[in-house]
Amino acid sequence: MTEHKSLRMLAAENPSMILILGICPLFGSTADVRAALGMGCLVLVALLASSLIMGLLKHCITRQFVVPAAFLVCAGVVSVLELLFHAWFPGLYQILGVYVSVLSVNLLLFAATADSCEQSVEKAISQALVVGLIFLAVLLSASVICEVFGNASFAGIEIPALKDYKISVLVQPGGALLTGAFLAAVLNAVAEKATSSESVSDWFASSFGNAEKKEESES
Amino acid sequence: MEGKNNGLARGILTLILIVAVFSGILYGVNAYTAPIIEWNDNAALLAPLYTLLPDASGFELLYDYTAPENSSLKDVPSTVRYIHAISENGGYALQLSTTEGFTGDPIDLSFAVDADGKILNAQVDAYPDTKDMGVDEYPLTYIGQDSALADVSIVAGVTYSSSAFRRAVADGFFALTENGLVAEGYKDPVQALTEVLPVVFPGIANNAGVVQTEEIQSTGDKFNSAMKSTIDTGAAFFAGEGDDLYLITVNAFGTVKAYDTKGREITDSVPAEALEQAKADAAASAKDFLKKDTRAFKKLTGDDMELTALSLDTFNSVTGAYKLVSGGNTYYGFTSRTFGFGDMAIVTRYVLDENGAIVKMNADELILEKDYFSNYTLDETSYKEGFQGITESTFTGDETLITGATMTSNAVKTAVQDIFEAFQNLKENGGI
Amino acid sequence: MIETYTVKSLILLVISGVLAGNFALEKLMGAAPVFGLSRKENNLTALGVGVLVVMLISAPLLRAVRMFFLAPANLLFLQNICFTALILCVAYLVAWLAGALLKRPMGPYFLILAVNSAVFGLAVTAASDGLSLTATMLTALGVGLGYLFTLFVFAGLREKIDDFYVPKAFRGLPVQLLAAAIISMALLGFK
Repeated sequence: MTEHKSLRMLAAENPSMILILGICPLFGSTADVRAALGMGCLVLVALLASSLIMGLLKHCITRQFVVPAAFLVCAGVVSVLELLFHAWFPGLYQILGVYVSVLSVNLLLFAATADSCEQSVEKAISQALVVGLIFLAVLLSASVICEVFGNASFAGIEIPALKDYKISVLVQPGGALLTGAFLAAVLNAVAEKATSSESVSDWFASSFGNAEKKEESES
Repeated sequence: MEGKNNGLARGILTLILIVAVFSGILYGVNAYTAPIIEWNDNAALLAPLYTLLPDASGFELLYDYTAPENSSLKDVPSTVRYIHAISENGGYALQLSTTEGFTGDPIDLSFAVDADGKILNAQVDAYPDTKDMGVDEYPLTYIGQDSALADVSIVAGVTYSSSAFRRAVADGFFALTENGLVAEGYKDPVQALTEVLPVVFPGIANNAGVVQTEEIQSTGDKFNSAMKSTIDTGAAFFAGEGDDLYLITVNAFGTVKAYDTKGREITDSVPAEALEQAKADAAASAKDFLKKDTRAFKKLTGDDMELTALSLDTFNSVTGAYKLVSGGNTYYGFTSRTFGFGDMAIVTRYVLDENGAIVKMNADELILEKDYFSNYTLDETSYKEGFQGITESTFTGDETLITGATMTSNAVKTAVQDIFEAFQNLKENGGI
Repeated sequence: MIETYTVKSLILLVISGVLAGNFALEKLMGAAPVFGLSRKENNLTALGVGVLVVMLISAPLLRAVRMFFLAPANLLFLQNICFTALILCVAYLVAWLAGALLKRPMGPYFLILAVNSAVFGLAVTAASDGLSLTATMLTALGVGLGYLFTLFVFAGLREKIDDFYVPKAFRGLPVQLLAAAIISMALLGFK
């Protein structure tokens, strides 16, 4: 079996991976900068909390159960955060709607959580921090582009100069994907390793695919 | 193998433990957040009420449109969303939403009344219409009014949205008075009849429900006032004394009906001379459209057509009904006069076959103010052909749409609905 | 509950699930695993049909759990964790059944694909919108078919894109996102 590659290594090689994994919360909130900031922080906190919990739990969980355990930990952490978010930021919660709940089964969160089982707690936390901050940065830049040019406003405040030049497709899913495509291209160019052959499914297969086989050989 | 089973059991146990621990934590967090969330929701709900009555100390929810079955209030109109009791003065605060404005987008409003049923304050909470009726000033003209709303007027030029506002406030008062929360305000009979008129005679009012009439001369002395529709759809008269004032309506075919201040029909119990007089006055002031209609229908069905005038007892915009026999086939022709842009008459004519399907449609002139409208798009020929084959059951209203000319579209829509009603009326009275 | 649906409106529910309500491309739920699929993935049909089956089972199940347990017991705050656990159970069950039927394991990626936000989002939206059982099932069918459709479209697209020259920065994910953006805008036309 090839050596395990952590999510952080994967992200360092190909940062647009984070964009793929976090695509759902990313585009659920690009139409409004405030929503994006809220969502980005929510994801960051969720990443830190679930990585910490999973890192602490890793000795109790056999490899076979890493996937379901990670899913449940994510759902639990997101539920707690959702309640707090709903209570403290009712306005933002209204805008984000179902996307906050859907974070429970988000792949970025899941991948980071599941990956925490493979490394020490400190490494897991620093990985969560790095991944979360990259995600926040990507999300904020996407939402600034989408809101300013798509809706002629910034954080809900209208920009009169752009009022007659709205590119309204930018606040729709298609426009969000378009913005995402260009951001991913920028990330690729920065990373200078554009064509990583590693795709998400390969990474999962190499990280968790041989779980059962390995388990058997261990016992 | 046993070891594997043990591992499986342990793993599943771990998962169950994770769920259990999180459920416990969630229970705790929920105990903390639930009251905050509820408080937030309430605050969001009450926010318009506190801008309405900044000094109020509290509100008690009496009616919630999402759960009307939980309220003791009955017969609440659909425009009313929430009714709150005001804690300190025994009054009520209402939140309403109406879609009867010019664009049809919801206009949200709220108003508060004191225990005597007088409006303390009123405001617009959401106003999506482009034409401003004075969202800040107009509601203030309602302060001090009771349920009769006697001294409020409609904003000239923004009649649709302002009359939607007025109707919504009236709906709110209806909910309060029906349930005995406040006493009904005194409505003087003239005002009551003025409000009855567009309901019983829609053909005399425009699409905003505002009556469009001009005064006429009565030959006798039986009437307090006599008026006819500005576009010749019929006439109306106020007769009687004091609180027994009543309304007589005459349609374009000379059918006479009488109503009391509550809108109940009382044709059989009013003096026959008054009805006769009204009919005669209406006939004297009416224009005769027979020649014009004959010419117009000949244009639609051919010169060999035989035309017989029919009579209707509908009180809508239909001013002419004819049986047309052409080439061995029988058709029915209807002329409708509806209020278009600037409340001018839009005259449309329809030829229906015996099954009530439109065969042909024509209009004297669809766009009344060509200079004013620059952004409408209309291919008149294909627009008119689009009506072919429509029956009462297949008519959706979309067929009349002219982009950029809402008034005309609505006027034609009313006309089509009215001619189908007229056709039905002929059928029921054995005219077909 | 009285169900007043015409055949037309029912068919519309399915079609709109496939096209206009396409979760992956219009709501961007469950899009991540679609983009993340490997070129080498060879049992795409099994994966897609598996997700469809998971949706069909879990949507009415989660609706029932919410309606008859969580809401009456005032435990809606447990919805996320409860839904996730149930979807996991359904996904494991389907994976096990499919493994037994096809004599071939579904692979670990099936779980990732099955427990995705499309399945979850569908359940949450259907539950909070108060859809009837029939409507929930048909929406699940439509969304599931739409998901299958999206999986195939992207598998095909990946192959096509490989045949062409793509600027270096756009290789990999960006060009796929561009394609997704174009499809998403095209699907807007069905609204």
